Amino acid sequence: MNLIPLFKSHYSIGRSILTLDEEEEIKENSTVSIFAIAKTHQLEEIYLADSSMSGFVKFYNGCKKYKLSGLFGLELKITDNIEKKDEESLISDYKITIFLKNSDGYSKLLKIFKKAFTEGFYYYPRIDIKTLKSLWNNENLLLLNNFYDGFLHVNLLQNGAAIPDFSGIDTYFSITKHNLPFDFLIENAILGYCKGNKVEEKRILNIHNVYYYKNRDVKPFLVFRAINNRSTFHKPQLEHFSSNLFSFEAWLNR
Amino acid sequence: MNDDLIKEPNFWDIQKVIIWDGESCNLNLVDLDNKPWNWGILVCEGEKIIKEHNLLIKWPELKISKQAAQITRFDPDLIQRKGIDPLIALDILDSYIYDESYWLIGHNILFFDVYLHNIHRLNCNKKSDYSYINRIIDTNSLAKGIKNSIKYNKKTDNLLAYQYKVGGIRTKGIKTNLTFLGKELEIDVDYNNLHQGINDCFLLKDIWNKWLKYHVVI
Repeated sequence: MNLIPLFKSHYSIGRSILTLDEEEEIKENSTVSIFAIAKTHQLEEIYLADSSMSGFVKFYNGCKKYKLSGLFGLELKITDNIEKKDEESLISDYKITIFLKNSDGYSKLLKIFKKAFTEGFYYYPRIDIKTLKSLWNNENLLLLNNFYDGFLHVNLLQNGAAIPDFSGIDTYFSITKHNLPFDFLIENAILGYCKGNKVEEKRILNIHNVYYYKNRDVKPFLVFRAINNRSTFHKPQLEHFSSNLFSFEAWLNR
Repeated sequence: MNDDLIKEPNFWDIQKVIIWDGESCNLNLVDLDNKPWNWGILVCEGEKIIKEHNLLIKWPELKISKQAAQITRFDPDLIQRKGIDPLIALDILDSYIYDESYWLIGHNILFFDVYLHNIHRLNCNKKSDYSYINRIIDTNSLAKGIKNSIKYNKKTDNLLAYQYKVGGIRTKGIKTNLTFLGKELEIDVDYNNLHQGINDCFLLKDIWNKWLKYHVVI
């Protein structure tokens, strides 16, 4: 089965140090563009999952310019009830990514984005399944359950109480391996869930998250995350931040 | 505190365990410069100590922050005199960690020491290997679970997943650090000498045997 590199750009604030600048070459001691990675390594497709729509136009234009096939996804949190905004409501939250299947999906995704960033916002953008379904169209959109911070991860390892309901939604599941000691627990939970719910095998995707270029770039990435977290390099206060394999290099060496 | 002790013959009374704790240069979990310079290991069968190791490690280059040096009472002269080769220290630790007859007990190890051990391995040109993870007992997680009234249930919980789940909980007013637990259980040790691998292990051994082991039925 293919291992899909799923990029994040710096438009997901604090979550990636890769840019969407229109560059064809990777320069030393400089930021690295996802397009430069694609050109250097002869990728024909780019999968991007950002936590905002801010980079969409740059992504679209870059893909067009470099003749790349691009798939854009918006990462959001699902919550139990969009109107409930208290600490207790956070335990039902989990991450998904909504991908555009075609250009018609853009307006749909924008509506979802707007709802989540305005009405649903509580610490971060959120939307509930009921609202999501009211805006959903399987012809234009598909839903990917995140591996990390997805509903099985939060329920199993983070004391969450997420109740998923994907009926009627074109749903996929992601499996990733980034050398975290609990990866296998989440993977087993996902495979068990898929088996129990008779999810077709083709809907389980092997994903490799890419937040930086080389394994060694984990250091600047951590600095960036620590700044966003108001912590320090030596005391980052980022639980389980222990792997340098969220890199493109690790995908290459798969 | 002992409201729900399990009084039946206890698995842990005869089980081989190690109680381990590491000291390092800072709290970064991915930076290879954050080398462990001390591993404390108590090798036990039930409550009986079979062997103890206080491994001081002499790295060719060690960058320790001032704060960490102060907290852990890092003594460069002592390391110079008594420190051993990092590979020798790793071999000793790994001889227990990868021996499936041992359970591995430590305080906050799922959130810190397992990563420190990984950094040690990588610095010795060995591959990451968390294959021992299912034999981990993280006493900080267990204490948090009990104090938050989220108890481990052998029938419904995976022990490792349970420990990750409760270990991440932060509840205002609930303390589970070693010093607090030790004093709460009226364990008589010199609390000024903690944050040194082997001393922490001795205190943790008492906390484990007096309280926590009764809450984990294997």
